Amino acid sequence: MLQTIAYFLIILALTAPMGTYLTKVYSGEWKWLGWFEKPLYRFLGIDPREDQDWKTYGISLLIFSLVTMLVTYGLLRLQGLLPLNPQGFNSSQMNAHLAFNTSASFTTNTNWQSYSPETTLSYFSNMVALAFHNWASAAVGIAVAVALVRGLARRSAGGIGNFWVDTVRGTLYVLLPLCLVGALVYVASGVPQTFEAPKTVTTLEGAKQVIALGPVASQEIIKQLGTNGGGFFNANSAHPFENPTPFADLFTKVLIFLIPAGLTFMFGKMVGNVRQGWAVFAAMSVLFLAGALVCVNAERAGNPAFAKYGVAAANMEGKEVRFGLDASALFATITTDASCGAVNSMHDSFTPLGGAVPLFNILTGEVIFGGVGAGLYGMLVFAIIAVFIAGLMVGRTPEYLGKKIGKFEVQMAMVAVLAMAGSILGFTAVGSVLELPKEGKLAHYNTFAGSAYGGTDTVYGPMSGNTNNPGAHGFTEILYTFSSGTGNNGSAFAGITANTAVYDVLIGVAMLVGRFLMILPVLAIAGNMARKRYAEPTAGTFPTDSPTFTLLLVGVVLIVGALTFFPALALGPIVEHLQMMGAR
Amino acid sequence: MADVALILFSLACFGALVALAAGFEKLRKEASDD
Repeated sequence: MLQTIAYFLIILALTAPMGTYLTKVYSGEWKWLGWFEKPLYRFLGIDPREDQDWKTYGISLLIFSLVTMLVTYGLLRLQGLLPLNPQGFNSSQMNAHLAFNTSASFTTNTNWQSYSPETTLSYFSNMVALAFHNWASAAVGIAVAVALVRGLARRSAGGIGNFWVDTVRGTLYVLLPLCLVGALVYVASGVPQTFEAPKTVTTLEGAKQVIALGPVASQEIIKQLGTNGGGFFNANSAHPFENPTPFADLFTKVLIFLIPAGLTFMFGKMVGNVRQGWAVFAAMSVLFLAGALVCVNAERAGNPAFAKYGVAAANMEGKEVRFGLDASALFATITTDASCGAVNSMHDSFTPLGGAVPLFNILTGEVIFGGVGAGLYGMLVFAIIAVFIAGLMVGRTPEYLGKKIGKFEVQMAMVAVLAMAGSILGFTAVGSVLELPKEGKLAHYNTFAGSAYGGTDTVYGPMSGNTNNPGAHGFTEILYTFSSGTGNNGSAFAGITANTAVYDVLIGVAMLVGRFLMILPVLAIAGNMARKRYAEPTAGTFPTDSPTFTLLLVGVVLIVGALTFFPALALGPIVEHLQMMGAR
Repeated sequence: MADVALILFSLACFGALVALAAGFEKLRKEASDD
């Protein structure tokens, strides 16, 4: 746990400086890139002074997302005609349903990858089609969080900001400078940044091996900082070219929480009471530390059935020995607390309880620091539910930050929570019971070289046949897949062959539901809250900057997650844990 | 053919989201009138 505590202290130290910087960026105080920003607005036809209402803000966001998703789809399908393609990849590696899945994945900040990048994507596809979204989807996520905070902070106002300005400023002032510096740190750590084609080398045994290369560092930095998570290589952050050293591993972990933690401080600053931000930070911290504690200890305890064979019980299966058990379990906790999805170990190989932690983190809505922006606005939705419940308990009208929480805010919070639950549980049910036809395109999987898993089988029958394991673990693989997609996490439990027409399209839809059916209610709440008048707190006002509120918020996150998903967890990791203990 | 179908499907998904936003705004106005 020392690693966890040291890591947490680093994040704690960086939260206030990062939050202060973010506040200055989004309040418009920082203008040092104005020489570039103003002409850019003129070129794009944007009026930066326009204060958009929530609906205009939301529709601008939807248009931007749709257009960029379709452009990405086209670029992926046409990669054979485009430059920076020394491997000669084309549309046979990137078929239509995989391109749909991939473009939806990167547009929604999910970065789920149903393919193996080094055998599927040209450098151009990586650097333009996908890395663009690593930036844009991160900037959009932060913009939505900032819009919600403005909605909470403003009084009797019609607007919540300007989507285009927020997205441009997030990219120029936050992501770009940090990525420029961070990419150099990765290069110094040994991460490649080159346009050279892959090298073919002779191994010590005399065999030929292809060493994949590419512009990795520039993608790695935004992948982590923007909580995107899509790897340049199939092994993701377990690959020595993505994560070469223990320092790079720690650096990566810090990058994942840096902006989400800073946003909590920005929230406090913008609503005029930093204690409000620290209360949210504290709730996230409690959940993070509890998750890390369970995950690390579950992996250390390992499988007790091995004890009778004289094998050490600690579970090293699927873990990089360069990092070891604790750093792998901590990474798994962090990457699923945030909606990052980068992995430095195989989550499928974790013990049932160890694997349940990443899964449960995603099922909470990834509000434990969470994705850039998405974590804060998700947690603020839970804060609204928490004050509503507190209001019911004491018989007072619920208030948050001096604004009354009304019927509409609770309706929207419920839409956000239920959309996510409906998508995860509904698609998991489909994946568990649907029978695919014996003939036709829906029957096929693994029929082309770009598959992450290889092989040329044509399989039909139940979708659950795509899992590597039967029974409870197989069910967990399906549940994790749709949780990761809906939660816009993108990490894979990695025990499922997802590159089929049905899985690609269903996961694609799950990703769109998880992203936009969360964002629209959040923006609607922001718009309605901005219009409300401020009421001075009275002796009967429930203080939302207190430890009591922090505990209530933690309780609401856990209870909503537990009540919604406990039956599914019981069928998966819980029964698997009981089976493991029974086999001792 | 699959390309056209998936592009149209994407357009339909985002069209549904715009309609949903309009529905939320209607709900919001009704709630503020109460």
